Amino acid sequence: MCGICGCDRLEAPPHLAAHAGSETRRLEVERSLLADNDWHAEHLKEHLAARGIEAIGLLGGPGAGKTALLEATFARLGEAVRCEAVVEGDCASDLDAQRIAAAGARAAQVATGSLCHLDAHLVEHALETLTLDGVTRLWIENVGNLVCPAPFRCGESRRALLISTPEGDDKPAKYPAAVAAVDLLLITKVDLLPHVRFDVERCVAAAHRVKPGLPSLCISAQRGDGMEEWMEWLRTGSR
Amino acid sequence: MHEARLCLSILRLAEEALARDGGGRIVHVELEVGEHSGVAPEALAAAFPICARGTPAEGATLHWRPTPGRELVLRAMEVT
Repeated sequence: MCGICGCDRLEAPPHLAAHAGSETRRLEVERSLLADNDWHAEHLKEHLAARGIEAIGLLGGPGAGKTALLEATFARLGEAVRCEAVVEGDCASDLDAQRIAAAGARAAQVATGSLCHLDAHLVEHALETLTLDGVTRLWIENVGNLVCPAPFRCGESRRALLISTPEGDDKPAKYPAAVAAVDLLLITKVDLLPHVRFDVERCVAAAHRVKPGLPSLCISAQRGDGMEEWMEWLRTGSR
Repeated sequence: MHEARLCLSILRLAEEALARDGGGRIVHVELEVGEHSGVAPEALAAAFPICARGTPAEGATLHWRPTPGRELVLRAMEVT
């Protein structure tokens, strides 16, 4: 359908000549946005791997605890935090980048007004503002959103999905695309379990209906639950 | 604002294709929008003229055709 006048003629639309005002030539492009992003993501992953850097993606809704998880992770690394870098996606402000810098890691902020997901090309540009010397791990903290980021990989070799207990155990059932796009489910803020209605088994079962065998961890960045297992996942899985 | 972000990606692909073909101005863009792509074509059409401002596709018309599947494809364009 025509985006201007609503007509359903695809070839030689009648108003085209009027818009053009002169001879036009036709370019067959045939390029898919997802395939194009996959190409950029694969290229970026190889580029990082060649420098000895593994990229880890964090997906989750706003307030799921993505930045808090990074802060808790960095606090356990001691001096090695200098080998960590983060690309932060946010609609506005550099608040998260400030938190990352305060935790001792390098951060690049991607902030545009209409941003709902990062893509590989955006991350490539964000990396132009980061010095990657000595970095061994690059975190891609996606925009807080359980829908838009899922199909757009950003050069990560592994991705984790954060679902916090206050959000509810139905999130994997409601946002299956996000579950399908990750390699680990992190149930965060488990220190709040006594105060919220959240059934861990129900959440994991819903995730397994989308992605059978998906590993999951229960963690609390604030109290420290599950952080050892999380650090182990980071260590053992690195490739 | 998913569609606005997607428009910027479409425009980047369009400008790359235009540059490879010797440049010019884009007057018409044809898309294929998968019915399971999660994209609202009406929102894409509303965002397109705004996103195209200041690019070689400024003022271009936009047509889309629904397709099965998940893909969003820049099918073809008319250039001068």
